[in-house]
Amino acid sequence: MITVNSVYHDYEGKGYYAVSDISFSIEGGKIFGFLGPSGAGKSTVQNIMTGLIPLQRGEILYNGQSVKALKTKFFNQIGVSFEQPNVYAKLTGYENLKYFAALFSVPTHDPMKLLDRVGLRESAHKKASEYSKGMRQRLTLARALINKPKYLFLDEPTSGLDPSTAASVRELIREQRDGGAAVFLTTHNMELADSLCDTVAFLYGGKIAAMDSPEVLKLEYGKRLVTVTYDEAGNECSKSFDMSDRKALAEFLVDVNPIKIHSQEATLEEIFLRVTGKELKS
Amino acid sequence: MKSIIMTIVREFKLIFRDGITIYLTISPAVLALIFIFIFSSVQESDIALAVDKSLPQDLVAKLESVADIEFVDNLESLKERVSGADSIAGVTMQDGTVSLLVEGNEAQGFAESRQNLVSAALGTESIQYTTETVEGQNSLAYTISMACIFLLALFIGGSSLGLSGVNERESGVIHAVSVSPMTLGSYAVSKIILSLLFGIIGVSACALIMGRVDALPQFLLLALCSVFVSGMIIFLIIGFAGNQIAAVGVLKIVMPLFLVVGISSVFISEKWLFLYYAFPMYWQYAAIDTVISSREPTFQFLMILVTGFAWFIPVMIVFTKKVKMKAWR
Repeated sequence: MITVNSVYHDYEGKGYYAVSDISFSIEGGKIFGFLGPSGAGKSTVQNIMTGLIPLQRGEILYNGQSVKALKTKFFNQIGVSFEQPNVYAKLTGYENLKYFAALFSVPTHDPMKLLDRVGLRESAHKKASEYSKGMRQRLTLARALINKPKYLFLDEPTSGLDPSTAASVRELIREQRDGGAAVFLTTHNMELADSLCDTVAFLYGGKIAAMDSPEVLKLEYGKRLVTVTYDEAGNECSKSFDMSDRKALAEFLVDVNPIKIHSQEATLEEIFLRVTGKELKS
Repeated sequence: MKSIIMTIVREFKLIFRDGITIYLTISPAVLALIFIFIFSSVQESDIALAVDKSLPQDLVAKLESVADIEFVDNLESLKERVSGADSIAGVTMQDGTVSLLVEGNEAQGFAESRQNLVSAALGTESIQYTTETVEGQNSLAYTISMACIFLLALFIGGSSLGLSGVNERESGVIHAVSVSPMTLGSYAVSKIILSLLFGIIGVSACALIMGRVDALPQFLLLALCSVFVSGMIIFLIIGFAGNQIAAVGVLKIVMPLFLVVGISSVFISEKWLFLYYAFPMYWQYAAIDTVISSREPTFQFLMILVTGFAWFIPVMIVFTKKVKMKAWR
């Protein structure tokens, strides 16, 4: 279990906090989504959690052990996929994974099998410099998984991927969760978060604006609507009804000639807008 | 240990897949070739012997039949002539015996070949020869040129690994290494070992090309004792250059610094020389100068290690701060 308690970080030491009062926890076998626009502080939190940035204030615990006291062996248990696909460009995909596998003192995946899982088997012996951005992204993800991590940190794992590959990456992330890993997912892709996360936190201006499961957030902040598209003197019109007001919907349907009826629920995107007053993709 | 070996293998692959680094690596050997073209013109002229006035005229006539003869006034002048930059032996008469004088740092077999030549020319094998060696006095240009090439060979070993590290920093892959179980110590050791290897190969190639095989063990020791200097070069470059363009800028500062500091000591008054004692580059130059003069450079080697270590520690502190690699965990 990962526990984060009241974490603050000030890059310049001038009292301006890039992130402040960040608290949450992630149990094993769960995916925690950290959502927010660019510059919200998502990567800062991930970097503090992985020890890349020193913890200044607050507490981060891995099964009760502080991030400040982590020993070398602990790093056998974590896998990190960075937003920028940072790989050795002059090594092949296979060589990249083989090299990183050798750094761990725990059983690792077979690099070729892992490359197969992320759809890079055919390009395994090509230099990473010849890969597209999406291919490098997949290689970075494969590298994060090479040591069968107990704690997995994923920063925009589907960025730049085509829908089919993104779906396969989603499946891979679910497998890690089902295998008992605690997954920390930072993204501004609401669909990805909605489809994967057990809990999501909206990060805005360096602070957590809301945090809960996607379902609870939708119930709390969203309205479930039914939209009726109907014919009116040859023109296609539409009207939305709150799902709780079924009487009004029924009466309306009697009076008009309906063409289509769609149920709608609030998206995380809309909830983010409602909570923060800002668009997520800004 | 496995991670260090794999990192060395990985560095080898990266360096040999990078054209610029290959050119950098072979550049000292190319310079050594240029060096021998320039200095061999001085050293590979026709066989010459210097004689002083003590040598009887009939013996001089016999020597003239096998070599070009240069006349000097006395024994002191003869010793001075022999210790010049070119390869020349001196012949003199001492206590009724013909003596051969050769410079102490001449190539192996030089004394024997000149002794045989003089013996054959005089045609009197029964004459007893005594061979006296005089201390070598290489020309400043010769010493500086040779030192430059060996210092460059050592510098290139470190800078190649430094550039490879800059590439890791620029691509961000160093962060992936930082969140792996590889420690800063293993990371540093793997880079330093390879730079030592490049340094050893570089100085060996230069010693072979320049005909100083006799001093090869000392040049290898020089490379080994320069372990912390190589480390300084590597981590200064990575620490101060976030990308390859910045690395070129850092090289422009670091390279002259590491080559010129030692050599500039030649032009400094002896009373100010103590200021150089804190710099390992000075001791590197002093060691090369001592090796060229066929003297024992043990003290200089020791000082390279001591001063190199003293500078290496602050460089590593700067590196860990700049790159945000955890020093201890």
